[in-house]
Amino acid sequence: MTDEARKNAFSLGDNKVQYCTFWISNRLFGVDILDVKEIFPEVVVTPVFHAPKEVRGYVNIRGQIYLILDLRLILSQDEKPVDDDSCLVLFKNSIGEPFGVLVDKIGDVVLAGFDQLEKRKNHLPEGDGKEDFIECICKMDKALLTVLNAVKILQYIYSAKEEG
Amino acid sequence: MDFDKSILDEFITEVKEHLSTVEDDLLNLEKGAGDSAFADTVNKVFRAVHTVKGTAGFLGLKTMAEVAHLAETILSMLRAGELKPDATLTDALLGAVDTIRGMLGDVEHSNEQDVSATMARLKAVLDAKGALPAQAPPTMEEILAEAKLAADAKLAEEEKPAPEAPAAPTTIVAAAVKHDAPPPPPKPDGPSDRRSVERGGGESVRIKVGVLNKLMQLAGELVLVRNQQLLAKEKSDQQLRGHIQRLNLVTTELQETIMATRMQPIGNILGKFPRVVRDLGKKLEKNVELEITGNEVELDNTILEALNDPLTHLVRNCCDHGIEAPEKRAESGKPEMGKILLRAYHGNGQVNIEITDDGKGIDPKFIRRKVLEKGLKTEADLSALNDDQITSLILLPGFSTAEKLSDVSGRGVGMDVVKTSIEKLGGTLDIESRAGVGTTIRMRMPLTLAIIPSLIVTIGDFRYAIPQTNVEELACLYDDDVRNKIESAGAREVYRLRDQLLPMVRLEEVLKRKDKFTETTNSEIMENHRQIQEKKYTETLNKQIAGGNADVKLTQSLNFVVLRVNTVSFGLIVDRVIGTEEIVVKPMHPALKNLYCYAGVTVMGDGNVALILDAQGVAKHAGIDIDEKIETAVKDQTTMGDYQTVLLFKSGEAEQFAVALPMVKRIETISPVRVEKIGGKEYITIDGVSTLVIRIENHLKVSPCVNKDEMYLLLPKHYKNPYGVLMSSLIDTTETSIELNTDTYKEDGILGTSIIRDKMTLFPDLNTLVEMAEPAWFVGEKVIAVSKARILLVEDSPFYRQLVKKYLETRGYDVSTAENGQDALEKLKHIETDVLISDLQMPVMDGLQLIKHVRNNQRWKNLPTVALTGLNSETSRLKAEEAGFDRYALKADKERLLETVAELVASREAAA
Repeated sequence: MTDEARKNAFSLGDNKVQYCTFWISNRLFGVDILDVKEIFPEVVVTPVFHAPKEVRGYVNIRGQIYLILDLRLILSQDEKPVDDDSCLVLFKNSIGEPFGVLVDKIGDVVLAGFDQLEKRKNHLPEGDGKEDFIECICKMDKALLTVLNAVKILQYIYSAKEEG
Repeated sequence: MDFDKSILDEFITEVKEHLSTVEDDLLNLEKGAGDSAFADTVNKVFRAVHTVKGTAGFLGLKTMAEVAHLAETILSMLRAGELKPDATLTDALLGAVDTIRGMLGDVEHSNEQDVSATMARLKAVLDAKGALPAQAPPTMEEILAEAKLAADAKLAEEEKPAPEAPAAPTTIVAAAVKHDAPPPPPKPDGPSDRRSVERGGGESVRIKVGVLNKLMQLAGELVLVRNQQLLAKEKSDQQLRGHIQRLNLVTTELQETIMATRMQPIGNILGKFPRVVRDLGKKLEKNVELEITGNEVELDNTILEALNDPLTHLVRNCCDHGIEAPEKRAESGKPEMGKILLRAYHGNGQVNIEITDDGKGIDPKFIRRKVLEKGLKTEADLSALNDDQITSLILLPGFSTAEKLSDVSGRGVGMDVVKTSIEKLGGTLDIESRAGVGTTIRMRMPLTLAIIPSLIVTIGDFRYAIPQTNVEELACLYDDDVRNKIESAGAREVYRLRDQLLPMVRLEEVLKRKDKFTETTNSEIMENHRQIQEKKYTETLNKQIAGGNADVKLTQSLNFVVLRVNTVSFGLIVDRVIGTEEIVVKPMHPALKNLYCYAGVTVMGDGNVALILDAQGVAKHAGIDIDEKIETAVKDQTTMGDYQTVLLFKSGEAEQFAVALPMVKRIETISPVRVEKIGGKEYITIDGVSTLVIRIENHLKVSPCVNKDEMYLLLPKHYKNPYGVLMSSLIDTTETSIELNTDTYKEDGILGTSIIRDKMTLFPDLNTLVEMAEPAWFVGEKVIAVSKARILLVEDSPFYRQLVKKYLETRGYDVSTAENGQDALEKLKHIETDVLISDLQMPVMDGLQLIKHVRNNQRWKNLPTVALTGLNSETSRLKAEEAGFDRYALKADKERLLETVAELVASREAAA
């Protein structure tokens, strides 16, 4: 790809945004692709006992140590054993201290127009405080994409109480 | 200026560093006022200028201090919003920066430089706004007066001895001249001096932390690749093997070198403080004494450098605010001499630095009033705080308790700068103070950048690192001992380690349970494991019965690490002990900071992450009271004395050797390729020290050492010259009853033999071996050995009795032995004795009782005595001396013991 072509590929215009999507419990979720550093297919983590249950453990990726959170648990889903599809989505340092989330399966990169985004959240169940890290809902042709806010996910872990 | 060159050099580098950042920041200032970035920049510049002023004032560079002071006044008004930045203001400040930089070129004569133009411009800025603060002029005069005072005091002192010996005559003359005419004539060697300053700068290079970190990381990656290579080596051909071997060595060396670039003893920066304190004391007319401990504590150089400024601030604060004037101290009944204690030590995987003064302390009421006055907090905020929290408010930016401004400290920038810099390094700072009693400032620096030796253990599939500083020893129980030797005391499992009850903690249970252990948790754990053991035991019994075979044994083992936190030891039961490794400590993720059981994380050789355990946190979690020493002596007299833990090893194919563990400092894994041959002798570099390698077969009639890729070197305790004994394989350590047989096999260099694990085992005498290997080290000692003095050696352990007796006999002494105090008293009656050497801990009658009897008897009142012990502890030494022993010596330290005996014999002969 030439420099010019690359520039074009990433220039989205004013009203568009790209999401890195992934699957959790057969539902499609996504995060802003600019927040993502990389996707890592191998999931060998060192567990941290005494940590909140959503903390999966530490992983070393080329000398950098990431804290891995289990997104299923954060989204109030049941725990599921890691399988071949499981992936780590690692965030950039600009989001916070190095961390990533474990997802069931990685999806495509989705290009969405601002007009497809629904900011209101009143259709979501209230009260568990977890609707906070939902940024918006993206209405795609065939499915709905729930867009999460990486910063909020990290904040949630800071406040998570240690549970048995 | 007669300051130490090093202090001046350091000052110059430091100021240059400050100035380079200030210049950019000043230019930014002009761009905009009002936003938060602006306030930050002003604060930053202000701090830098403040530091320059303070240091210059302290060094007596009064012209520089004057310029900096005016600049600081402008900045402080800028900070308060009383002045607005414009071109003239920036020009004036930049002018000041240039002037100061100019003075740095010739610090020694900076006081004579004409700075009136710069000063005038700075003053003009202040005058133009009509805003010359009321307190500024007196302060400046004060500074001048103080600086002069200090300079005079310095001259008066410096007249006596001149520090630089060769230049002594010139210095004295110069000093004398200075008395009458303050501007001293330029010294003839002035210019060359300056050149040397510049040259000195070229010998060391300042490297960005980022670059060092990257290097460190790369070295780590290289180690990973190396490890993978080593795994692949097994299958590769001969030539490739050689390359890999070399890659291995180079990598190790590279890693060691990079690490070495970073570690420096903290003494490097603490060293200047005695002088700082003394000079400040003079200046402030206070009597202050500084005590420093822990100079040898090693810290990462980057942390060390960054600590310099904060520590200087704190020490100055202690002198200025903490310690009261002598009259005040006398009034409150304290000694006139104020005391500052500066302490550095390793603890909990961190470096702790404490600064304690016995001054006036911090009065919470006073802080409360000041905070309200300055509007930093409201009454409502304050009412929610306790005294300790109020004390910590002095760390807020803009807070100052100094009653008046001085160039020592003041303006309230000190503490918040200190706190910011410490936190930037990932450390913490807290203040503990009691009004009228004193203040302690405690800093805990992380090992973030540090590399620490750690013990790697496993629980299940996961590895954990325990900082070596906490590890006392490792132990393993086998088979039936697992069931029998872990006993219960109250609700806790304990193990009898020699004469102490060691509380046991199961790491697995600690990790499994999130909540801090209670009595109930502990008894639950105890009960569970007791049941497991009972079940295993019954199963084995049943098998024995079923098979009609009593040989069916329960095979199991239990590993534990004896850890020490403060004064308390406890045993940590782990699944497996892997070994020691140097690890790079990385901090825990901030989201997990509240997990006190961990000190950090590290990447292991295979690339996986391992957690670093915090011994103190683990103890706390398991409910062990680490502040209180649990000391229950369960001295078991039947097992004492007859047993000795020994290290079993092999050198040649045939023989099994054993060395008593207390004689061993440590075992080093070496690669024989690194052994160098010099003059027919072999050496290897260990810890940067060239160490003599002794091959047992060269000195004893035994089979030659088997050569392997990886070999071991036994480094003994207590030696004058470094040496190690080469071993081909380590067998085990075992506790064995030693009644050494000295008759079956006799050879010089062998203490005796014993049957261990059904094998005849040789006990080499390390001290004799090294004498054989390197007689040159012992030339001169033999000369003393001419006496025919009679010695009575009292020692219950047959092993040491033989060992020490042998040493003494090589020096020509006539040695009799006794097994305990009672026995010794009997023998003393019949045998004429010149020197009595006695162990302290013995059955029937111990050494302390023995010496009492001896001293109470007219005949032996003046008999020279030596207390002999395995412990190198100050308390037991004091105890022994109190009881009446003349000297104190360690069993394993042959040379000291012989020296001591020789001295006593000599003095007795002289007296006779």
